[in-house]
Amino acid sequence: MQERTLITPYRGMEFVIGYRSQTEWRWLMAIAFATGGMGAGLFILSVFMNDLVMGMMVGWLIVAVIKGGAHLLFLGHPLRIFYAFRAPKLSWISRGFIATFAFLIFGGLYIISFFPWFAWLPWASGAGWLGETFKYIAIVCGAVVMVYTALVMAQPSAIPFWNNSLLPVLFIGVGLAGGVALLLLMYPFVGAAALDVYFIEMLGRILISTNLVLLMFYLLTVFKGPLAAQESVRILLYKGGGLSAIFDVLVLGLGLIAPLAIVFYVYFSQPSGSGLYNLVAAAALLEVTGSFFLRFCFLRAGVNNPVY
Amino acid sequence: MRYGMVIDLKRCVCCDSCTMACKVLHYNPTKVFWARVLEKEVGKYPNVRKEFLPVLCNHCESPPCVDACPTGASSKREDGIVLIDYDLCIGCRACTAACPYGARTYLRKIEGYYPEKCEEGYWGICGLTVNEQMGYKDKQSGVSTKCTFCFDRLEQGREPFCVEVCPTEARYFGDLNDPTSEVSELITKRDGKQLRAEEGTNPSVYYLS
Repeated sequence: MQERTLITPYRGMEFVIGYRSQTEWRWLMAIAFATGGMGAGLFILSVFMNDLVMGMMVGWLIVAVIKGGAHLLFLGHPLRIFYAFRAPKLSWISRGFIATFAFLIFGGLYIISFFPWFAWLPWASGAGWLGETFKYIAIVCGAVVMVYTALVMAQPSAIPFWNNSLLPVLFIGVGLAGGVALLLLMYPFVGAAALDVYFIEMLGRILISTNLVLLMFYLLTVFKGPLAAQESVRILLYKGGGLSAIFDVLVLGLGLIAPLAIVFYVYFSQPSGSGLYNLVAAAALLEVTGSFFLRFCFLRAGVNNPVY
Repeated sequence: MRYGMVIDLKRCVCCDSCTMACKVLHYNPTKVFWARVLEKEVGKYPNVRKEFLPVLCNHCESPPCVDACPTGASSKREDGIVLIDYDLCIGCRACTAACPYGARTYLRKIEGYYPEKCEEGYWGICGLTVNEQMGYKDKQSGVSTKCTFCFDRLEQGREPFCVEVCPTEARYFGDLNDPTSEVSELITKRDGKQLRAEEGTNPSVYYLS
């Protein structure tokens, strides 16, 4: 039986055989992954909310500025970013970059058509075949933006905790839930006429419940996998695991269980006015926080098998 | 042709000559080791011993690092050597995450071994010795680096430096596709094993135990 010796090496300075923690992808990548999922999720949901312009615009800006900015800050050579177009045949990062770029172009073209200054555009207000084309390309590319980060993580088998086909499903669910949360936070700015809070809250209820079940199922599945994957689950869940405080409190507790409790309370008690908004805003903020820390914990909990 | 290496674990004494030779030849900065010797304690007191495992890039036949690279900076040559084009590398570290052997190192910052030294005359640039200045001048930070099987020495008809300097001759190098080569014969006769063969990467480095 393999020894369970978890070593967190200083990358490049490791001289002992044992499990190795992944240390390269940390805060910035967690920000990029989380904001990509939430921003694209917000955009897609806003399109289906009768083209809610503010939602589409905020989603687009989150992807362009925060996700894009985080990626550029992370890269060793950010000015070479356009080289990432070169390898879509094999690399999910390349495919994701192309999808992100296409999302920003076509999503941007679609969004600006709703502004009065661009009423002269042939696809003004998203009308016509051109508007529809831009819309659906942006939706498809947005979906890719939501899921490709999970595929980047799941593709190589080096880190068994990530190498699971449930990871993309989980990330889509978390991305959409993040989009719902951001929509709810926008409610005071768009008003009840543009946004049916009860419908969005119902969507949130379904997504958060699903994500909680998915997450538990994911952890259960990987816990039955290789020892390195079990080590990752130990790091996340067990006391003294290194990430257990963050995962148990911020992801499970505040990020999933608390928002779920709030939205179920809203469902059963049916508050109205500012009371309703305060509750859903609280749930939304908690969900967004939990969504970010989920990505962060998953990245930091990645453990490689010993080479021997 | 497929270049490969065979390492005899019965001969390795963990002298780290290979580690230092590689570092010296390639002017690898601090915290970058393309070749290392890993240690593992086995047994229980009083019957304790150490096992040594020299590791380097395995130059896999199905390299996951090449699949992960978004720019094509990581590529596999026809002779089996996996190389990095530093001018294409954007420093995303996907290859580092994808490698199951920990063979890649991200060169965050090029630092000398004596950063505090700044005596006029000898040090030239503060923090870098004259040797380091010479060796680092073509180095790029912000890229991934790894063992290259000393491809430039191979072109001169020489072996990788770690093979040449090993005092116990624990390393062998040759063409894995040639059944009559020394490496192929050793693998066959002594049942050479690959690291983490179950990953499906088909490494070009074999170990004899």
